[in-house]
Amino acid sequence: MKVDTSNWGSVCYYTGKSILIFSALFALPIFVAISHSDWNSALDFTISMSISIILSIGLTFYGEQKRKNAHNLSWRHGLVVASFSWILLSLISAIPYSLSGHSLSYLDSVFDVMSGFTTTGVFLIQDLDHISQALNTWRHLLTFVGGQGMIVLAISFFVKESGSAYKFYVGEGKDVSLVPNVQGTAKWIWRISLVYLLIGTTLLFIQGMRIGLNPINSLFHGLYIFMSAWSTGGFAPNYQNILFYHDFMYESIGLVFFIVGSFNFGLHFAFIQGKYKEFRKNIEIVSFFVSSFVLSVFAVVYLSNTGIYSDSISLFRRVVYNVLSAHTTTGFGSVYAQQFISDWGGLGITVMVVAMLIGGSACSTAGGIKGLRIGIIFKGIYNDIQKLMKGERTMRVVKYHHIKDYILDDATFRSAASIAILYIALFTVGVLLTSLSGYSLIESSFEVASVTGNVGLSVGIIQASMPSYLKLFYIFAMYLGRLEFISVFILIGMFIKGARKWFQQY
Amino acid sequence: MVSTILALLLVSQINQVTINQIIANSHDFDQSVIMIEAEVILEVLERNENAWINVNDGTNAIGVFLPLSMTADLEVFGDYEHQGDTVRVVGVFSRNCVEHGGEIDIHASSLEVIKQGVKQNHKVPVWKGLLALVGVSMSITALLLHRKRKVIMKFSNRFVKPV
Repeated sequence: MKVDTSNWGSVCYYTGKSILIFSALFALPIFVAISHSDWNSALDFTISMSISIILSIGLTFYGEQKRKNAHNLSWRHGLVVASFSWILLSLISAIPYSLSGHSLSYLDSVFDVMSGFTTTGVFLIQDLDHISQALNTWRHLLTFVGGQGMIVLAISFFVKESGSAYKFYVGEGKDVSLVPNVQGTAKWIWRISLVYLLIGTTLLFIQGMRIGLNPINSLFHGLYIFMSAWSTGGFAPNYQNILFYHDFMYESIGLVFFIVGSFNFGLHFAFIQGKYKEFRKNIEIVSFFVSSFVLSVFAVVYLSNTGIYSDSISLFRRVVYNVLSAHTTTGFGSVYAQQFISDWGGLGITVMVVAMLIGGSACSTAGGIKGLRIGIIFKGIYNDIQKLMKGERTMRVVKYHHIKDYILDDATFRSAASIAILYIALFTVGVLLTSLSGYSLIESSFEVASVTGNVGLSVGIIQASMPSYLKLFYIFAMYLGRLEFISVFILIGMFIKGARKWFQQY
Repeated sequence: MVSTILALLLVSQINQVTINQIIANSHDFDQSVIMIEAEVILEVLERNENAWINVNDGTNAIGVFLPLSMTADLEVFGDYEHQGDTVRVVGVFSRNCVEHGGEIDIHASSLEVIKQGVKQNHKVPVWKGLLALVGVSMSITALLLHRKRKVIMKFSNRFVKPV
């Protein structure tokens, strides 16, 4: 692929604009901090916001001077805007973590932010039970915004750049068009999410009060758990994650929202339009329910035979819940990290690894290979077998339904298979690297599947004490997994080309 | 008096363990009486006559199920503003509590506050205040310049004749 480095100006310009819009988000934790008379946190976020604004205006100014063709941003530059914005936003958003004193290093802060943005949910932050309300708000806000997409947020406010906006949108791993223009689509994504936010937070607030939380804690915890569930994130305000609440109903509300959150935004939009049959026909939904059922049955049968979980309630709350949490790439854990190793055994962990790698729906808040691709790959392979059995002279047109009917052609199959292969390759490299660091193959597989699929469950490898190169690899794996490779590859290509050019000049 | 002596005798017979030790060796500790010392987090979650408290000893955190009356002595709970009361909990550990949907938990038979919690003092460092002041001034200036530049560009574009 020929990489054009001449239009860095446009990349900087649009990246700067995206960061400027994002900077407004700092106002929320500042407000929370001030309302709690927490001046320390208020200053942390004010400093971070200032840096964000100055950097964004600097980039916009530089970009405006340098960009060659303001109205014609190529595809590759559009994709680079998305991947480059993600890197800079991660670096900026990590500042309050470091200023809070709860991160052991800036690398740990960036790790937590990337985990939030990519809706993964693993964390290295120290003393989570004592972090400020403002920092907790920030953690969950990042995961909520990251789930819908930071670029989706920026596009909602881009007024003049409609031509380029779709390229940024695709660069963030989304491709569904709810309405003909991309700004409209971005706004619909936010509208859908905010309606669910209202419903979900209200339900969790009421249930929080019923289980003994005071009204203020109930409100904040309801908001946090909803943001995490809907974004398939997996963060929680306390160390014990969803185990903190000791309540089946509270867990169940979370379960409903993380399943719904893992569905394609196109499906939510179809529902709004009254197309209820979509739920039955959509290839992703069929794929999700089949794989969820099969994996849950495997895990339940295996773990009930081992005698660890003796009754159906335990099997549902500890086994099915975790399988669904893994499959939707949420990462709420209703067992401790150590229990996966000590209780679940090889087959139990294999089920979890498969669930984490498959992931949720395309153009949703979930990660992983995605149900749509798995459905397409299975259908394509099945078609090839049919062709071989019935002879080459038989012409078969294979269709699949995803919001509308599509013909399954070779290009679609190849594209789905390519992304799936890239995920598997990333997973393999990660497992090798983690194993070489002294962890067992089974532990490494679980942890790497969790970061590659943006899940967030852990067997305990991810700790502040793990080697820095593993932290860097996991950050990269989360980032690649969320943006689905292509836009990141183009960004790397542009950097290499730019560096080569620079070396040739000097 | 006799019950206190008996309780003290019982406590002296039980090994104190960390929460992480119990969870990492849950098979060995299952259904045995254990003793932990940990900080109480956030608040008491009341459930009719009983309650849950969550405790964290720095190695890990766990839920403790106990009669509500036992929580009467708890005053300070751990959060950003407080270092919570440190309690000594004696109780039965379950790695798969049938009563609570297979949860890992401790059913407490005794709870004692061994250290009163305190309010945390989060002093604001001067350098943070100064940095924030400089940052806000610079960002407001940058925003104003950006805005002014946009207005000038818009105005000048009106007088550029199309070629």
